[in-house]
Amino acid sequence: MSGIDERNNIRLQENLMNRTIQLFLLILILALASFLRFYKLESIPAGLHADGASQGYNAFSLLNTGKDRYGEPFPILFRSFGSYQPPLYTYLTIIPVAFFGNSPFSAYFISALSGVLLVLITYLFVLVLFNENRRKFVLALIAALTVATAPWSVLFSRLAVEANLGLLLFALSIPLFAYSLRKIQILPIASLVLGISTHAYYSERLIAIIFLPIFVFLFRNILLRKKKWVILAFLLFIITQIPHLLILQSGAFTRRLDQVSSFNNQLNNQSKILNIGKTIINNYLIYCSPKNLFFDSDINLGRTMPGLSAFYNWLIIPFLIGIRYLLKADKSLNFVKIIGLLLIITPISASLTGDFFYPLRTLNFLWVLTLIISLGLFQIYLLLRSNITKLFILGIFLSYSFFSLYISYFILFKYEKAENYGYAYMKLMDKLPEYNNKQIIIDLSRDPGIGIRIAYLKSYPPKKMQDQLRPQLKTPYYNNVINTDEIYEINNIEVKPWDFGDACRNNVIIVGDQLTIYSEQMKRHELKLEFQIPDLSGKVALFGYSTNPEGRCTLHPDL
Amino acid sequence: MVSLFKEKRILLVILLLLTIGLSNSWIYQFYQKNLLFGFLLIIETILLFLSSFYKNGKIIPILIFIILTIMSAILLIDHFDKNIFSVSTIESIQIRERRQYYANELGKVYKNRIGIFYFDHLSLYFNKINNNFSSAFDLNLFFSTGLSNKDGRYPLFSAPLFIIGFLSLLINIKTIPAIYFLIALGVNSFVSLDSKSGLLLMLPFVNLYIAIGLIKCLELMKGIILDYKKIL
Repeated sequence: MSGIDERNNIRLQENLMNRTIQLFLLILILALASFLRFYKLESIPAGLHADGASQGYNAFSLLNTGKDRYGEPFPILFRSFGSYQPPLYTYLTIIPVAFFGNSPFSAYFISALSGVLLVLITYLFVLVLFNENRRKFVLALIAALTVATAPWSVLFSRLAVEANLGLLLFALSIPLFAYSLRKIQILPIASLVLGISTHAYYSERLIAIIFLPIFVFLFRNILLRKKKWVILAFLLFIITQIPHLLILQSGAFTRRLDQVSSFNNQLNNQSKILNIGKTIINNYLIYCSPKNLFFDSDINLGRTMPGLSAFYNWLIIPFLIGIRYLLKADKSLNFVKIIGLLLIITPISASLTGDFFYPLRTLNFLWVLTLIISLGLFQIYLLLRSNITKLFILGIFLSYSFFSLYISYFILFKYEKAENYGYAYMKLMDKLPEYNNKQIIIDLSRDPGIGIRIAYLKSYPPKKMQDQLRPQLKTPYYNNVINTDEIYEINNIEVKPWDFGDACRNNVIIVGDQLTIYSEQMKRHELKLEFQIPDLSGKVALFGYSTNPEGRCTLHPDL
Repeated sequence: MVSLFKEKRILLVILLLLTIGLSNSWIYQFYQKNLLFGFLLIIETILLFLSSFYKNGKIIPILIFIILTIMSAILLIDHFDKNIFSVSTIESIQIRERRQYYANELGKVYKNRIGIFYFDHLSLYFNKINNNFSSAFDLNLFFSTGLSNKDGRYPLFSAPLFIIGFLSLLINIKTIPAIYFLIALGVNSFVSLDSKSGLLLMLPFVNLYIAIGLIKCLELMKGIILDYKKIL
């Protein structure tokens, strides 16, 4: 008896030690994820994108007045620049704005935190989904590490994008759904979280509505045994959609789809249905194309970083192994059904849009692919016998991946994308105090976010901003017709499309890029170059001119 | 020995492969320019298929790799991507700009002979080879690239069939087609995509797995119909 007790005791101690090591490794991965998402977040990206500034200022405005910048109390969707931003990100940004003030860091904070929490949720998801697998902890750690270091996750966690929060909530609902197969009482909670995710990003609105009924159908033998929980789950989901239903007729809810849909130009086409079908298949291929996922980098915003794709290119091998593992697995297993379902439905939203490969719109799909890659990596792990070999291979691939990530994101992205994040306009704010006695006119022809960025970073009083912007609304707050020619007046700064009449105003500094005023126009209007603001790359991005109305304008007032 | 029934099936599949290979407008244009190459592509498609049936024979694999070598040689001689080792004006501007970024951020790691060689030259060549290599994974290059099928090499409806066929390869890995795919990938890395001859080596592989995808679909449908009849 004492021998058996001793053996049990040793096994218990081994298990405890294993758990301690697993917990330690998980903490290490979370620390790595936090580092990759929060390191130099204040300065990389170099600046603040218009959408981030909009979210930040609306959060600041809500914190102080309970209304957004147009004076709308607690909106269902934020009008912003006509994209009607889903509200959850902005509401949550109130917290970092309250704690850290109006800074780029506060605007990015919720997205970065979502990226870290996604790593934890991925770990838990794998544990729930593979609960009968003896090595589930290893698989869960591999999945967590793969998400933590995935280029797509790092890139979008460091941008103020609602999509990252949407993914977090969607991903949180999936292990809850999986767990509900064991404990049905969890199903309404899963459904509630799924419903809330539709208030975080556009893609989730469609995917969530498709996911819920198909999930219930796939697992009807388990779930329909206790119908009341299923009915409650559907009821809760519908309740979460009430805000959307309230504004469904206004045009605001579907405005973003109207903006990005690939079918807008096909309305008069005779073979409309055929073309829509072809477009969806074509777009689906774009998102499933390994070239786009593993090899291509795209310099456009919202896609990938320079020189690196959504995934490291070497991950195509574990991806194929992971697909093979899924295909060969017993189709009746829960994880096969759930991952299979997610794989099919998650690219649907992005497939309806017209832009070529836009990862931002399909983060859920990328997350599912990351899980499949993890399955492949796990298979490779099982193949390798020696721990030294495992560590050696892990070391080589991690080093290569971090090197690629550092070069692509922390160097090339920082410099080459600074223009998109209004870096020069932020530097301009350091220069403008020298001209406090003058009226500053900043041309907004090429960046609608200039005004709101300045208002956010200067903490311009929300009440004054509401008084300025509300009267400029030409249509009701929720509407599909939007005017984007809003003028911002922030102390002595006026942000508006510049016209030549401004050159005839006294005591004015006109600021714009090289397209705002040509050298010939500068001479004709006798403008004097006061300062130049360089971009991060050293190239001059903005010019400041002082006006001279005494000269040219007096002689030729029509100019 | 292959049974008569099996031989009939093989003939049917060969007919299917010929239909897929010859009914493609893009490849047809290529046949008109280079009949020998087109002929070799079709033969290679059929041989790749036969290699799955005649597993023990050595003649088919040998023939496959002889034809692959001939086609690779023709492609590399006529359409080698000379851009890999030359630097365009746009690229040289980009290199110049990036030099400054690397120097600012990496310091001594960049400012040495190895660092400069890697960042200014090696990574550029590597990216170009990588771009050619990865084009073989671009489904939109093989299938439709727009609403008109003008640029796509195969009709759009064959894309799902290819995916099904390719997935079946992942389940049951066939050695010869898999090796063929890897060698073709390697050769493709050095062939210019601009010449429209890039990816030609992939066509026998794509033809084969469209056909296999179609067969798998028909088998699945047959199974469903049979199951349905049983229920009735």
